[in-house]
Amino acid sequence: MVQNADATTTWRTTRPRSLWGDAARTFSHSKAGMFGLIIAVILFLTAIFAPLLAPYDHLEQDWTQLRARPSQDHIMGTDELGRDLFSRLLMGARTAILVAIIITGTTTAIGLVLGSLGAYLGGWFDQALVWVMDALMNFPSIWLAAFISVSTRPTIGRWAQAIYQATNWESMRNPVVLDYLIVFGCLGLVGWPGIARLVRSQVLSIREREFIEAQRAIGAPTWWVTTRHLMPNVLGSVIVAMSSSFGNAMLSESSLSFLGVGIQPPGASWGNMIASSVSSWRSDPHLIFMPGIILSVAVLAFNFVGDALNDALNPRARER
Amino acid sequence: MAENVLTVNGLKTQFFTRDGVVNAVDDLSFEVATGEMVGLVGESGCGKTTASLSILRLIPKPGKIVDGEILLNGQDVVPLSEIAMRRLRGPAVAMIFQDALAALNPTMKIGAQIIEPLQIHLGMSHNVARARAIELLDHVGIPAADTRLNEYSYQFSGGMRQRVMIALALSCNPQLLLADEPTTALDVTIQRQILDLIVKLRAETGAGVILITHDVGVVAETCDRVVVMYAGKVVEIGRTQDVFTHPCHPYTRGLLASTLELERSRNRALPTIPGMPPDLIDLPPGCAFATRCCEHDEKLCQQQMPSLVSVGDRHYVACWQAWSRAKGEEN
Amino acid sequence: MMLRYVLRRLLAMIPLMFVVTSIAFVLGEYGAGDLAAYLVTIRGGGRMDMSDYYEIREMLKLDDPVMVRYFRWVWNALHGDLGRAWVTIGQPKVEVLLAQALPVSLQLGLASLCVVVMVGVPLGVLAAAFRNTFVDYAIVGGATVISSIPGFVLAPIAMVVLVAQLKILPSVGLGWHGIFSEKAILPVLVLGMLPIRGVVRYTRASVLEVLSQDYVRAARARGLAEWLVIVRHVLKNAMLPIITILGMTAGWLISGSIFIERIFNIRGFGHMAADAIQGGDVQASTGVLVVSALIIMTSNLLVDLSYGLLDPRVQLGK
Repeated sequence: MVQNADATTTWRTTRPRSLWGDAARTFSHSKAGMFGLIIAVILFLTAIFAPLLAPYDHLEQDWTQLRARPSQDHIMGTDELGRDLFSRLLMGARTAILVAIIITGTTTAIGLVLGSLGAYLGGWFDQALVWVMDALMNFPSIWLAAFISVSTRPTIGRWAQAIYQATNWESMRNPVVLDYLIVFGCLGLVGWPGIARLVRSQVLSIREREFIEAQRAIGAPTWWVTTRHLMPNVLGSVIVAMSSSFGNAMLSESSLSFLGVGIQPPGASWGNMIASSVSSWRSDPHLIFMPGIILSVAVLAFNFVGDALNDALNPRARER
Repeated sequence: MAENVLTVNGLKTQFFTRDGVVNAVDDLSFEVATGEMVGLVGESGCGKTTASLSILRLIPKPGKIVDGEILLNGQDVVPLSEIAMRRLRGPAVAMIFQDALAALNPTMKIGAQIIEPLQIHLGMSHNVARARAIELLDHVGIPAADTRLNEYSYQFSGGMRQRVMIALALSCNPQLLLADEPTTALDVTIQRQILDLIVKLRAETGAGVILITHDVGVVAETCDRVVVMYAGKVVEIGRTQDVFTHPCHPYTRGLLASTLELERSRNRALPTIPGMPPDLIDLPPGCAFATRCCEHDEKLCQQQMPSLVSVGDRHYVACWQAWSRAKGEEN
Repeated sequence: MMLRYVLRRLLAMIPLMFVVTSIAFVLGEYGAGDLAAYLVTIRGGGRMDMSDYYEIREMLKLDDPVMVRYFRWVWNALHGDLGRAWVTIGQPKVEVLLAQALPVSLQLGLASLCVVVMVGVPLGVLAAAFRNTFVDYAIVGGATVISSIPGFVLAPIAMVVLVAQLKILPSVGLGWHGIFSEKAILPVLVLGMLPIRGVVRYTRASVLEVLSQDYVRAARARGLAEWLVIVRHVLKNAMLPIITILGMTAGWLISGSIFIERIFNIRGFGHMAADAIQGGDVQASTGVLVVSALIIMTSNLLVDLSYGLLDPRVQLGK
C-alpha cells in the first residue's frame, strides 16, 4: 500500500512565503519602523524641494533682524547674521540627505567589493585587507575624518584651482562645493571598513556552511553559487548596515561641520548652525534647539528604520 | 490494579502566534502506570515534545494549555499555581532532555547543578547533597565521580553527559520520568548503553517512564505500551506487541514499513509515506492523515474527525477504515 | 599559558601599530603645509627670510625621504618624543601636553563608563525580562532616542533644560574642577548617554539569548524558582558578551569627548584633539590620533583577556 508513491492530493501544507514578502510584512508591523520611514520620506522630499519650500534665500542676510525670535516674518527666527533660520534648516536637510546618500552609496560599494574579494581570495590580499580595516577601525572615526579633512584641504584647493584654470568650470571656485568634496572623501575613507568587515565575515561564514558545500558537490559553478546563494544571504545584513550607515553619515557630517572642518558657512549644515550658536546658549537657545532637534529626529528616524529592518530581515534575531 | 502515575485526559495545547493558532496537541489521552514504560512516537512536529512540556507545565508563551486534565499521582496539575507546580518538578516528575550539552549550564560545575535541586527539594545540607551527588553519578556509571563533580559540561563526552542528565533527572526520586529523545544525539553503541541504563533505573526505582522518540525500533525493544501521534493527535495506542504486530492505523503501518530491517532484500525500494505533514495552523476538518493515506474515503475521512475506538484488548485506533474493518470482522 | 596568549596578542598588535602610525603619519605629511615656511614667517614677524627658511629645513631634516622621516618619527615616539605642537603658543612638546590632558579625560571617561554600566545594563536586563511589553519598548525606544541626539546637541540641551529652566543642577562651571566637583556631573552624564543605546540593546539581546537556551528550561524543569534561575543560570552567562560591548564603549566615549570637552571647556584629551586638528597642528594631531588608537586597542585587548578569564569554555592559547 505505501509503496505507491503517486502524488496524492495533499492538503495545503504551508502557505507559500517569500523572504522579502515576509520581511516587508514584519516591517510594516513595527510602529517605530513605519514612523521612521515616514520621517525619512518627508526628509527626502524636503531635501529635494528645499529651494521651493524656503521662504527666503538661505544666504540672504538681513542685518536689521539679527538673532530674531520666531515671528510672523521669520517663522523660526533668524541666525547671527540675519539669515532666515527656517530656510537654512531646509537647505541643511538637503546637505544632510545628499551627504548621507553619497556616503552610504560609496562606502557600501567599496565595502561590498573589497569585503567579498578579501573573503574569496584569501591569502596575503585578505591579510593585508584585514590589517588595513582593523587599523582604520581603531581610530575614533570622527577624529580621523576631521584630520583627513584638514590635511587634504590645501591640496584639494590646489587641484580645484588647476581644474578651474584648465576647464573654466565654475563650481571649482565655489568653496562650498569643495567642502562637499572633502566631506565625501574623508567620510568615505573612514566609513568603508565597517561594511567591508561585515561583508567579509558574512561571506566567510556562509562559504563554510553546508549548503554551499552541497552546491559544490553537485557541480554548480562558482558564479552561480555566488549570485544565487551567497549574495541573498549577505544582502540582508548589508541592507541593515546601509540604513544605519545613513543615520551615521548624517551624524558624521554634522559633527565635522560642528568642528568647523566639514561644511563651513555660508554653506548650510545643521552642524555648523549649532556650532555658531553654542556660545549663546543662554540667550538664544532656539538657535541651537531648532537644528539640534531636527538633526536628532532625522537620525532617530533612520535608527528606527534600521532596527525594524533588522528584525524583518534577520529572522534569528526575531523573538516572538 | 496499579495506580496510574499519570493520566492525561483530553489535553489540548495551543500556541497563539501572529500567523494563527497552532494546534500543537489536540485531545491527547493516555495513562502511564507505576513502573510502566510508554513510548510516544511520531515524526518531528507531531506534538510529542509539546505534550511532555505540557505535563511539566513549561509551555512557553505564546502557548497555553487550553483544555484537559493532567493527573499526576491523582492530582490535576493544570490548574495549579506556578509555585505549587515548582514543588512537583523534580520530586514528582522530571525530564531528561535530548541535547545534554545544551541542557547543562556551560559555566556552572556539574556538581553544583546536581546539588542545587537536592538542596531545594530535599532540604539537604551542602555536604549531604554533595555526597548524594557523588552517589548518583556513580550509580549512572560515571567513574571517578568525586573529581568529576568539579568539572564543566564540555569536559564530558556525549554519552557521559547524557548520564549526567539522567542523574540530574533522578536526583529527587520522581515517580514519572520524561525522556525526550534521550538517544537521538548519540552514536549507536552509546545509544545502547543509555537505553539499558534507563531500563535498569526504571526497574530499580519503579518510576513510570515516557520515552519520546521517532525511532520505532527502540520502542519495540523497551516499551510496554506505545502511543502513536500524528499532527497533534493520537492515532493509535495500545500494548507495544499488539500495535506493532497488528498495526491498524495506516500511519502506524507506514511508519513500521519504513523502518530498515536487516533481512530485507537490497533490491526493493525503501517504502515511504507520500506527501508532507500538514501545517498545524491550517488543519483539515477530518482526519489529518487522510490526504496521504491510500485507503482513505474522500467523504468520510476528510470531513469527519475519527475518534478512538477499540480494536482489541486495550488497543485503540482513530481511523474510520480501521473501525469499519474491525466491525466487519466482528460480524 | 595565559602569559603566552597575552604575548601573542601584543605581538599581533605590532603590525597593526605600524599600519596605524603610517596612516597617521602620511596624513600629517600630506597636510603639513610647509612647516618651515610657517615657522620662518612667525619668527620673521610676517616676512620670510630665505636663508632662515633653508636653515630650518636643514635643521628639521624636512628634505629627507618620507620613509626615513617615518622611521625617525617611530624611533622618537618609542622613546617618548612625539614632537612639538608647532601651532600652539610656546610650542610645547606633544608628550607634555598629553601628560596633562590624559589624566583628566581618564577620570571623565571612567566616571562616564560607570554611568553607562549602572544605567544601561540593568535597563537591558529589565527590557529582556519584560520583552515585547510596554516596558521593553519604552526602554529600547528611550535609549534609541537619547543616543540619536549627538553629543554636541545633548550638551547644550542639557545645559538649557537642567540648569537654566529646571534649575536642578548648579550653574554650569566651565572648566575642570576635578571629577568629584558638582561641575563635573553634567559632562559625565552627557558623555555617558552617548553609548547607552548600544549597551542597552546588547545587554537585552544577550539576556534573551541566554533565556532561550535549553539549560534555562532544564533548570526550570528541576523546579527552581524564577529568580534563582535568573541569578544563577542566566546572569553569569549573559554577562560575558556584555564585556565585549564595554570595550566598544571606550571607543564611543573617546570619540564623543572631543565635543563634550570642547563645549564644557574641559582641557582633556578630546579638547587637545580639537585644538590640534582644528588648528592644523600636524605633529600634535598625529600624536593624538596614534594615542587614541592605542587606547582603543588596549581596551579591546583587556576585553579579550577578561573574557578568557571569566569563561571556562575559552581555553586561551589553544
